[in-house]
Amino acid sequence: MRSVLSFAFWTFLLALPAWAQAPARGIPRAADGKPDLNGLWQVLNTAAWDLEDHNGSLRVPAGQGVVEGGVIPYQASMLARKRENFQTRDINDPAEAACYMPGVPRATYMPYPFEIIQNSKLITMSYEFGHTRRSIFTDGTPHPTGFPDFWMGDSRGRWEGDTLVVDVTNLDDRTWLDHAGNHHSDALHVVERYTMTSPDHVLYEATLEDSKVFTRPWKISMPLYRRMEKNVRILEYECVQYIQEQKYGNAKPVGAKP
Amino acid sequence: MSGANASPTGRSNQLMTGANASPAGRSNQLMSGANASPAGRSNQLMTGANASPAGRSNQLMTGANASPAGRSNQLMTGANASPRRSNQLMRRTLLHIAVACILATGSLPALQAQNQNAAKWTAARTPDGHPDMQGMWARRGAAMAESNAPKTPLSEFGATGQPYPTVFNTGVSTPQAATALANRPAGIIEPADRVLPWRPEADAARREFLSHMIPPASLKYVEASARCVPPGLLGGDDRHPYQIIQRPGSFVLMYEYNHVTRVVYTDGRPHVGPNIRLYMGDSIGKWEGDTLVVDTTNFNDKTSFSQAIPFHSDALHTVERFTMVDPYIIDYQLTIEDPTMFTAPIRIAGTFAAAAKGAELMEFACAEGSQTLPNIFGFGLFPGQ
Amino acid sequence: MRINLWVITATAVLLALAVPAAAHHSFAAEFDSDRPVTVKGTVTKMDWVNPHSWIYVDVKDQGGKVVNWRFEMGPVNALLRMGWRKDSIPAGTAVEIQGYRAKSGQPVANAKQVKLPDGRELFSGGSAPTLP
Repeated sequence: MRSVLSFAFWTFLLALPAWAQAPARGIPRAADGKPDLNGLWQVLNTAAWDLEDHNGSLRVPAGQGVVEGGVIPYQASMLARKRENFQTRDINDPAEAACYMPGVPRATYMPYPFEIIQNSKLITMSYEFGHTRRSIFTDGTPHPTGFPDFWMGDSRGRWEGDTLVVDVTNLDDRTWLDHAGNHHSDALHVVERYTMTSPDHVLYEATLEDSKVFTRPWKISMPLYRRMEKNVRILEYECVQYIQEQKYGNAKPVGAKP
Repeated sequence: MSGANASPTGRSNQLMTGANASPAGRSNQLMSGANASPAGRSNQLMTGANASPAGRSNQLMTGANASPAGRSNQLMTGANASPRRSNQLMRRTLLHIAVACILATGSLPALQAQNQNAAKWTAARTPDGHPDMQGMWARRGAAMAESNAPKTPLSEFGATGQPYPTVFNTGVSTPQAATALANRPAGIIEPADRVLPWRPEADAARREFLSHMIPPASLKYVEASARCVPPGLLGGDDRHPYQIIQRPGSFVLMYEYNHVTRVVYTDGRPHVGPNIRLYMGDSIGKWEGDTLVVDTTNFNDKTSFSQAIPFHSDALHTVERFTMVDPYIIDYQLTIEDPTMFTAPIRIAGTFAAAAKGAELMEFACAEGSQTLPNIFGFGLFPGQ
Repeated sequence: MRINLWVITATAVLLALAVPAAAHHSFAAEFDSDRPVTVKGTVTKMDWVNPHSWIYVDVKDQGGKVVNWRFEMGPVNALLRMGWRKDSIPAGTAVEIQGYRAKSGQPVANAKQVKLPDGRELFSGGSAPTLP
């Protein structure tokens, strides 16, 4: 008997790695069997300020980077542009200076919650920052051809097992990837992966490729945490209005009598 | 009817005008096509084909000549026609379209008879047992147009006609379009004479405000929609569609315009606390039978009702009622109470009409592309602008 | 290069019967109805954006100097839904545009009507011209 138990015990231990790769148990599922991502989510890192390792400074928390390998692989001239961006970030970062929509993947890690609204054909991300929103079509349709770029791109998603894989193109080249001046061109192509690792956690990964700016594709990853408060809802952060008031509140129209 | 040699790569969005008009009567058929392509969509509006011989019909059918992948938008007047031949066919097409249009306006009585038969329709249900209103919609009629609105310089440009080419003045196409919408209630229905029950001091305040808007004396006198202010309940630009999504516990109304999203919670939660003030208010909903009743409070005072009513107070309270009439029509009723402005509630009626098959919500970025404030004030938000 | 214009004619005609009540904001704050303008020139580019798309046109003034004018139109989503695409209006296309001048005095106006040299209208929904 003891040898049977011993055998069972060791077999159990050896089998653990395989079990660790099995789909997370207990996650909520939609009617179509897919993981149910509905709800409010938010990151708890400092990627919005800087995707790479950074120290604290006034009003900027320190952070360990979210870039796999540590460093974003810029082409030399593009790294120079990043450094210029960094120097003038407070007046040139389109998301902070003008409240323009942050693009993908930055909208995910802005320090504000977002709501995932999911059904079997469409997953909508409703971000509290500037009431930014994007539609991820999971109905099998392809990216449109001949369309202009959008601030939040064009997103088409599919499920690979329990992972939502989202292909994003048509991203406007004016967005920055964070407040540190990390940037991209109109060739940016992002592939995101959302994997629920528990009922209240999603592993978010994004691979970025842009042959005009980087030497190779590179990847970020971070957890998303479910907002657990009862009756929590997306509120409003209408920075377009706040910035207009700041910049134009005391201005007079051109040609107005003094 | 021209053939559907849809492009090899894409969505096909075809308008075909039909040859086989009925000999004995009128037909007005709008058919939307969708032979589900493996990887694409077709969005077809076909007029006048295969009409019934004996009278009128208004059918919405789904068909199927889609392209395999991607999109193309083609006006097919004969596939692969030479430019010269396609011009001839184009003229014939335009003639057919003109005829279809005339017939469209003429067939109202038939449609009303049709609607009586439609009374037997019952809605498909969501898993939690409510009418399924999900999909893409065009909103019509929900506007606060007073019958004796004060003259406002905002609307004077109307004398010069529409300011842009025609294609910009229409909205998302709907299969029902003219005939189904023509008889529906629209605009202010209570008071019936559309003379609003103003508090005199509020009426005076808005007239005073209007007098500073052209030219705008300062930022706050620039029309709200020109400043990309979230539209509230009435300020949405209805040339852009709406999308409804239903989940257990919430009803979501997404405006394409200014990418605003209203999540109406139907899970029994209360309104947020009174010091939280929102452009779009805080909405909670409950079902009364098959009507969704939405109660919205916690508005701020920064949105606009209409060109003649450029503001309201944060005492605003609204009740909306959404009732599906048939697969293509949601009846929309909006009751407005703002005791600092009006002495009685005001009721407005509108319609959400199903958008043509294949319509997708698109991004409408507002502040990012707007030149209005730089044009008015002479400078932009970035160095050098 | 041909203009590839695929326009859904009848849709626009049918929709003329059901124009939404709440529409675009007034541009009386930006444009001057007492200063109509008509220019002829060649397209240099288009901005396919919301809330207003823009068409840029090189116009030769009386002295022969070339000035780049900017004309405001409606939201790009309307064009995309009607089948217009980014390559629909190539640079170099000759156009005549009627509109109203911006109050700022800049070479800016709204585009009320955009026509090709042969008289056909663009963006009207009423014709689908092809160019040689």
